[in-house]
Amino acid sequence: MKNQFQILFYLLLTGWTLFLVNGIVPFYQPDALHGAFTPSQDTVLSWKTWWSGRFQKKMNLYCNDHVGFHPNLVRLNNQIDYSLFSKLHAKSVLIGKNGFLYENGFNRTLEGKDFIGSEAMAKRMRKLKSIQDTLQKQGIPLLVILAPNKTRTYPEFLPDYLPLHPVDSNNYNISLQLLKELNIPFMDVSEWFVKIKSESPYPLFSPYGIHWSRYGVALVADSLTHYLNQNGCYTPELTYTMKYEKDKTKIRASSDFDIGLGLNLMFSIPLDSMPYPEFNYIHQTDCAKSAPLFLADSYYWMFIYEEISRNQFGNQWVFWNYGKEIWTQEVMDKHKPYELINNKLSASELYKYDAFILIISEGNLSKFGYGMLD
Amino acid sequence: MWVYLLVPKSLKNAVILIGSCLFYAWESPQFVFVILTTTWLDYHFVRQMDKVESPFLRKIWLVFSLSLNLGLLFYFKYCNFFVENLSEMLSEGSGTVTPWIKLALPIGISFYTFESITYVVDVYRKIHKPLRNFWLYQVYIMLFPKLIAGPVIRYHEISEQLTNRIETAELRLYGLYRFIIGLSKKVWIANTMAGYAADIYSHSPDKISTLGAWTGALAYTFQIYFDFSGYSDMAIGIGKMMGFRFPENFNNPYSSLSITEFWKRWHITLGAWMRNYLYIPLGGNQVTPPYRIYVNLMVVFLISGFWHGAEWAFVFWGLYHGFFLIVERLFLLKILQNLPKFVGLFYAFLVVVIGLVFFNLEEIPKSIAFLKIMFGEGKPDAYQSTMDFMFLFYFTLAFLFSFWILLPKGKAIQEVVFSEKYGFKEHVFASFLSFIFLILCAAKITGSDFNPFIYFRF
Repeated sequence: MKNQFQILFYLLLTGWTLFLVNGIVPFYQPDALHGAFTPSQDTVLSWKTWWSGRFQKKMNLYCNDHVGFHPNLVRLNNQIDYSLFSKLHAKSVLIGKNGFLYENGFNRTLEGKDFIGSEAMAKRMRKLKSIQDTLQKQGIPLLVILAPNKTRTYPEFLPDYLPLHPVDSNNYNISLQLLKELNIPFMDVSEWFVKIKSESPYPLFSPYGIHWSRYGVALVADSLTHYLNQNGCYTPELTYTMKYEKDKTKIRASSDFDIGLGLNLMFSIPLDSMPYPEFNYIHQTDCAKSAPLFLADSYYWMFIYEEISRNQFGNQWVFWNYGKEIWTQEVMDKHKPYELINNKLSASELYKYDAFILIISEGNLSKFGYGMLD
Repeated sequence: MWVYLLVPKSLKNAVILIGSCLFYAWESPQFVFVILTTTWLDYHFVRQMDKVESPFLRKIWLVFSLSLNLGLLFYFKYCNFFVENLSEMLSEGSGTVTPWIKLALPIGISFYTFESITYVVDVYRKIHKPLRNFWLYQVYIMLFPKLIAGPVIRYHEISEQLTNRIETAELRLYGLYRFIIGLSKKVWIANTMAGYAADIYSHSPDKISTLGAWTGALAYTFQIYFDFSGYSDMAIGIGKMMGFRFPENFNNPYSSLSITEFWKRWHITLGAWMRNYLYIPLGGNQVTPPYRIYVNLMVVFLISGFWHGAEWAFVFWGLYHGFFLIVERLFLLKILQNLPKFVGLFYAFLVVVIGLVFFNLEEIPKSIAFLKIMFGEGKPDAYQSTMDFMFLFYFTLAFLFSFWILLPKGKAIQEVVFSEKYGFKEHVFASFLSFIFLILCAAKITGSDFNPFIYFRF
């Protein structure tokens, strides 16, 4: 009996020790976690760092992030909280009815909690207007696309404990008013989606995605094509047919599941098949594709992932991601590192392009222009 | 643990001591030398006390030792408090505040000071002989499982085990189970309740509703119990894995039917210390005139409150409990005994919950404002916390584990879990459960710190 107790105890202790051993010498590598996450870095032990407690603090964090089976443990905890309590551990994401996932920041924006004030917004809009005037003289069109807001489009799935209290004085309402007053061309996709959602044959947002659905992006791409072609540019006409994607792996790998993926669960959320557009481009070979500049937030990535950018603008499109990074077709194709933007917008820079399109979602309106308009 | 298990018996205490020093130095590097020096001085003071025959000289050495221990406790824990209060009093006249650099508090000082006192006083009382090996004394004081948050162990309770403890594989298993029980209480219940309590208490009292205030107060009540008793369970468990038998520190305190009973079940080792080294020296129950017993009780509870923290709110908290103890001695206990059990249960729990508002907020005016909200001054549309399913689930668990001993089934389950009379099959089942709970706790600890910003990906 004594030996049996001994065996049991040492078995338990060994099981325990495996967490440490796998952290130091990984003999089993679980799948990495999804989402932006910076694991704590190893730290250097010195008399000074130990005495001040900095070493211990950093080491505790490091051990937490590098304990054996860390991704599995995180997924297990996330799964328990998600399945039992509908709680998420991804920052700024909240779960609504029917498992609908929202990005938390958009509620703040509707309720005016990030409102920068009418004067601050007007100042930025006036700068944009002067840019538009300058470009117009050169025949270069400018368009502002107000990207849709999932919370505004589908408020009915918000959790009951989070009633929305939209206010008039928020960045969206003021921007809209100023765009109209200053006569800056804009496409209010936010309002458009609210209007069409009840008659839309396909969802405009996926339940587990942050951005517009692939159907939603097809609608916007179609409208953008018309706008550019009516304003002196050339982009191939675009048509699409909708087909239901049944392969769940493909859906999970797509942007329609971008929040869902970041939840880092043990078991994938059950998915319905999603309607995806199949694009067809009618290109007139005697016309050169236009070269637009997109100053945009993450909503533009869908144009790139769906190959709309490549097919409509060839290798000539440029995407200034949040006004900080320069992405091009070449960077995408050759997996080259993107360049960083060092300068503000200048006329000479803008004259290189055939069109200037600013895409901004409601949550980013407080950063209208992404600091580039000065 | 592996090192401890693998070294020969003669080196086990050395492993414990080195481990304890590293453990303390990890959390409190500046103060590891303070604790090492004071234990060295204490050890020699007590040796000198034992050598002399004259009662007067014995008393002198006792005073030396007590002055050293209490002096350090006073300096580190209470100097800030007294200087701040004195400065405030003086500044009322002159308008100038005395400059003072706040002192950092060495962790665990309240616990190891009290343990040092038990050693010194018990040698003085000739309850036991002083140790002849300084390192053994160091092991007693610095024994890492109980160093930071108790239980407060009297020297004679552990003296035998320091040199001659019985270590069996079965005892280690019981220790491991106990450790996992404590870890689960801390990680699953205390930490979850802590989140809800902190959420409510972070709001100004005028911004929360009555329901919110009760939610916060109850969440904190369960948090502190499961946190503290969980820690004690872990200490007892690790102790057992190394062959030590530490005294129990909690015995279902919230199922008490009076405050008198509560203090027999809550932080038992501190209560025992107060009784043996303060209440009895003050005369205990054998005092004349009889009203002095109440004065003694108030003194004990005042010091107990002050021991918990150098704030007026802790002093008030101690006196508050002392007041109820006296009222119970005077008449209330007799009345409660003649009433249905649930009345006493409700009364004792309510007194504890209210007391813990002072304990948590650490400021008397703030606590009174919070209590006013609890008792009806809250606006119904004010903040009342997200009482979601997670809260209700863990709240129910906390409630169940706090009061289950009142039910025959609950009592039976508890007796089985803590019985230490397992057969092999029970051990296999308990080991399996322990491993599952260990993984769940590890997941909770690791997962709670993982909050990635999804949006940064784009």
